[in-house]
Amino acid sequence: MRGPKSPYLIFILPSLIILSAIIIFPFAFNLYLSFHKWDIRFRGAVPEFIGVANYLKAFSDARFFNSLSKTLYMLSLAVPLEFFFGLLLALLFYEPFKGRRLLSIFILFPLALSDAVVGLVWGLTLVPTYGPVDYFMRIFGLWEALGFKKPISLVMTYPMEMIILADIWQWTPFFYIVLLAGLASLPREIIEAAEIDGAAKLNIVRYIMMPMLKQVIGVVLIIRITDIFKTFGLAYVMTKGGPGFASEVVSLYIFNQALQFLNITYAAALTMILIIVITIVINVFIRGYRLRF
Amino acid sequence: MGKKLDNFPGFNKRVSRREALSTAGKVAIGAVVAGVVAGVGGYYAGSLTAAPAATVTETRTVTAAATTVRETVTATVTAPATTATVTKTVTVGAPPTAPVTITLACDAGHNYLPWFDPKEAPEGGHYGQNQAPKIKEVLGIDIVGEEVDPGTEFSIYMADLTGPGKYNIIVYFPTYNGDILGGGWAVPLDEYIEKYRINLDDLPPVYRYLYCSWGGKTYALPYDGDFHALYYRKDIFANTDIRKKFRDKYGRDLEPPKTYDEYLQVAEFFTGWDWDGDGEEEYGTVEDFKDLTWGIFFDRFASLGGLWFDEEMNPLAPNDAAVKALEDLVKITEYMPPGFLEFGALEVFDCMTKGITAMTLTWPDVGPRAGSGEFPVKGDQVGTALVPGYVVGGKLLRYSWTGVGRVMMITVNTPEEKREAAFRVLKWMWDTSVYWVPSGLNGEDPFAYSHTSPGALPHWKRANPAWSEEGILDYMRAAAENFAHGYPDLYLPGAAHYTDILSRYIMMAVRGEISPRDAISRTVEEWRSVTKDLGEEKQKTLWKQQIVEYKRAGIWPK
Amino acid sequence: MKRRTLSNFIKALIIALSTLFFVFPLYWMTSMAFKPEADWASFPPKLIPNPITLDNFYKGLFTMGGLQGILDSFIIAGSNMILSLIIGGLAGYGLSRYKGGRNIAFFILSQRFAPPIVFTLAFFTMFSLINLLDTHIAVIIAHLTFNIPFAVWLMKSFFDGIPKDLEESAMVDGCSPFGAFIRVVLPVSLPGMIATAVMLFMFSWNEFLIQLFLTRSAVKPLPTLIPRFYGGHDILYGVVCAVALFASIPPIVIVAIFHKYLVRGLTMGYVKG
Repeated sequence: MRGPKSPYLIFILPSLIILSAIIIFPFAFNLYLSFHKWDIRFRGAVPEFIGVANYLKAFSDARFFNSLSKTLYMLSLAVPLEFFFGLLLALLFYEPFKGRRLLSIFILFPLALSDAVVGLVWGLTLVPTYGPVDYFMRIFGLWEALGFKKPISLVMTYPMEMIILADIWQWTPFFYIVLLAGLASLPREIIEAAEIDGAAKLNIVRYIMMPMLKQVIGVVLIIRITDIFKTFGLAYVMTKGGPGFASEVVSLYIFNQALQFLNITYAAALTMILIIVITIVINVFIRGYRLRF
Repeated sequence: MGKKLDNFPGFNKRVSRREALSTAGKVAIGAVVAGVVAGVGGYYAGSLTAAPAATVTETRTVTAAATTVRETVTATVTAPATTATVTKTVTVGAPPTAPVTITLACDAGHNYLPWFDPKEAPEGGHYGQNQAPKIKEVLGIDIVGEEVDPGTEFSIYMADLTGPGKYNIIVYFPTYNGDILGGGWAVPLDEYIEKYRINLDDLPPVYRYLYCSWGGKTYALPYDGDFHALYYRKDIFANTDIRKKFRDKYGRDLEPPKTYDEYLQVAEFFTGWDWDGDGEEEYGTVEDFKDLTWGIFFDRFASLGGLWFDEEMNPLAPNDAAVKALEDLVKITEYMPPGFLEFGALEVFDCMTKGITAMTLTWPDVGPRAGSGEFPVKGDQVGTALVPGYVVGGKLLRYSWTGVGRVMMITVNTPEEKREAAFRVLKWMWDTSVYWVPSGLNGEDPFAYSHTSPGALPHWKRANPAWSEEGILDYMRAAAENFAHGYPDLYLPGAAHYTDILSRYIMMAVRGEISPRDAISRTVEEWRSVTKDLGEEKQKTLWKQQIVEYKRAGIWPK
Repeated sequence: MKRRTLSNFIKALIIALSTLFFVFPLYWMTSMAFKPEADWASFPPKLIPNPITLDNFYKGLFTMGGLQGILDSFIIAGSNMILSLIIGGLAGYGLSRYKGGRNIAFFILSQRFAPPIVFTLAFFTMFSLINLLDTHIAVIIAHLTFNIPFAVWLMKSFFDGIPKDLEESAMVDGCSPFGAFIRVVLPVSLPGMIATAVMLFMFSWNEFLIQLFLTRSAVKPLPTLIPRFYGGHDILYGVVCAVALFASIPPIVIVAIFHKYLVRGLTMGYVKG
């Protein structure tokens, strides 16, 4: 039972102060912009107050809603797949075996690459004619086997799916490393006791390990969900949001609006809307997951 | 090698003699002035392994109405032994007194080489690059350069222009002309051009008026000229068996196509069989869809007499021509290699140099790549031609899209005292461009007639040692032809937004997701909405300023 | 016995396939790094580079600033990792033990919701006003915006899993709360700390947009160098791959060194009983 003068507040204070100091100006600036119109391309242009006009525009912006739907699609596929794959790997690598360290390093490699590089490498791997995937599918007749008359471009025909595939490759290691650490932090005594009692491996995982990892799992899921809303690197490099608008995820659309079309005030409003959307999604998740605070 | 200003390499543009000629006949806009490489011997004496005396030939071709007058002038330049003076000198203003620092921003990587190149060789390779140290040596101007990411350079430049204002010279894509020039960020250069006697007639109309000017004033000088050219397998086209086959099938001779209908036919002919005997099936043609989709649409649309906007800001006028252009683009894709939608410029070039397609319609790079000899298809196997066109109102109209490219300008943030020095830097790059443009290394392409006339041959040869002389000459000729027929990209505020929308709908049409008609009508609708957001009256005024340039270039329909 | 062998076999199969999935694109990237330009788009694709060249490494690392990029990125990511871990780790612990921190915790977490765009122009203005553009410090500070919240939340979740009895018994013995934290809790949370530290480093190492706007020529972190390898119209695939490969060595070495703290094998005893 800690009173208001809890000694633990001191621990928290540095973070709060630093974060607030750094964050306040960007946030305020962004908010300010979202209520204005400012054509910075013209020399001598000044911001013009227009109230909520940018927000209203966003609500009738079909391209914005398209981008949100693409992002939600990515979320619904990427997060569960990455999580289960990462968990599976963490469980498999929990017990020592020969070559574990080497293989583990291979699995962690993608984390050391930036979005642009991952996008580039996957683009190169998947490109038709010059890429190895297409080559293998041709020589083993897999295109015909899948029902295609001639080889197709995977990235052009299934852009979101290919982006998700690259994302899984890049971020499963994140779940892997954190869950592995989580497993390693679990008190050995309880697990050993269960093993001695003859409990099945699967049950140990389900009824002992998972509940103890609940906090860690919740946090990584939140982090990943948030990050998927924010990233656009893969889409930018692999498809530029194309073909058409098929893979223009929300952060890519905002990036285009802000830095390519230079509509920085409209982009600011879109950003605020995005932050609200993320907050809602995370809140729903926390409530549903019943994450202990 | 003299360090005096007298040895400053300049092109002797004999203005007065040209004027005399022009009064003798009616000079059409197609005047071609070849640059003289005077002073080259003197300036590069240290790095040349050539004989002490160099003979330079200057050719000037003046097109007057239906007749062509060609005049040859021979001049002998003797490289200095120790103290000799070069005979042709260009003295420009007073020599610099105090040292000046100019801050430059240019896009990163290859394109930075003409300014700074760590590896400068006397022969081949990096020949002609690394001008900044020379500028410091001769003019006393210290250039501080910054490399900028081309993908986000627009926002980086705007952030600097509206903020700290650190950059004095910016090298940027003219696609941002509407924002940068129209927005009032560049210093007008006409005065300096006059004073330093830069002859803009050396530029084809599209670069002179559209890359470099806005609303009647000149604001920039070119750094890289881009255009589309038609490349074809000269050797295959000359093969008698194949020629016979073609003749039997279509009743006419096989030649590089002049119209898009012919282009379609030739592409169809070469698709689906092994015409080069390597055991693989080949294809007719390929174009760059991935990066600059709207450009290949525009080659066709412009040749149909299409306009980005008409005078009333109606987008893609006339719409029917836009639909036809898109329909033709969709049709040709049938004769392209699988996965072509994902091919960026590199893969497109490789289709030609690796014998996958018989033709390609793309950037200037293919010529030097073939010339380098590093690919299976090399040198004279690749021919360059003018892009095809359409017959409109009885005339064959052929336009080559000159998107991308790069220009250099002086920012308004540059203090008054530094502006002249900044211009002298621009002039230096203008004068030396014939040294660094021919190199395949830096991604810069020819933009002036002087780059593509025989006088420039020694530089092309030095920069591309594996390329044959005939190959270079053929390429230069075709390059000049293409940029003389150049049509500009959209230069208007928000250009990036407009072309983004157009590209996406083009892709959808090409993939069969929507019809070309639908694609165009949706594009037009969204373009109107973008125009409204940016301010309809403002856009109209700025577009009218652009039309002034189109008319000066002679490409606005009468 | 049979069951054991079957499950071992399946386990091995899954491990093998997974490793293949992760390794194959890596292998392709490596082969690109060693291929000369003419082979970057070869038809049919060459699985084994032939000829092999070191040109891409030479170009990327020495003539195009790859080495400086690696150094700059290392300074930024390394410093940020340490700062974020300490500041964030402390806060994570405080929030874990403090019973009323719900709003604070959510506030800290929500900092991470903002897409980097929010920060680019604002930070550019901010740092140019105090003349800190193009310095390591600017980027290190800017990266705190997403790394501190991450450190806070991840460490908090690990601390949540450590029962309070540990500190309590230490404090009964006369330790201050801080002393208890350092002496008793921290060692037990080592795997969590390692995982967090690795991720903090990676997040900073790979961030692109903010670094792009805050740096120019004095400081050139790796992601901002990559555009250099995009030539006139073409991309120098081989060079990008070579630099990326070389650049992944520092983080991977860190992982290799600390791997044993991540997995079962080194455990600290809990309450001896």
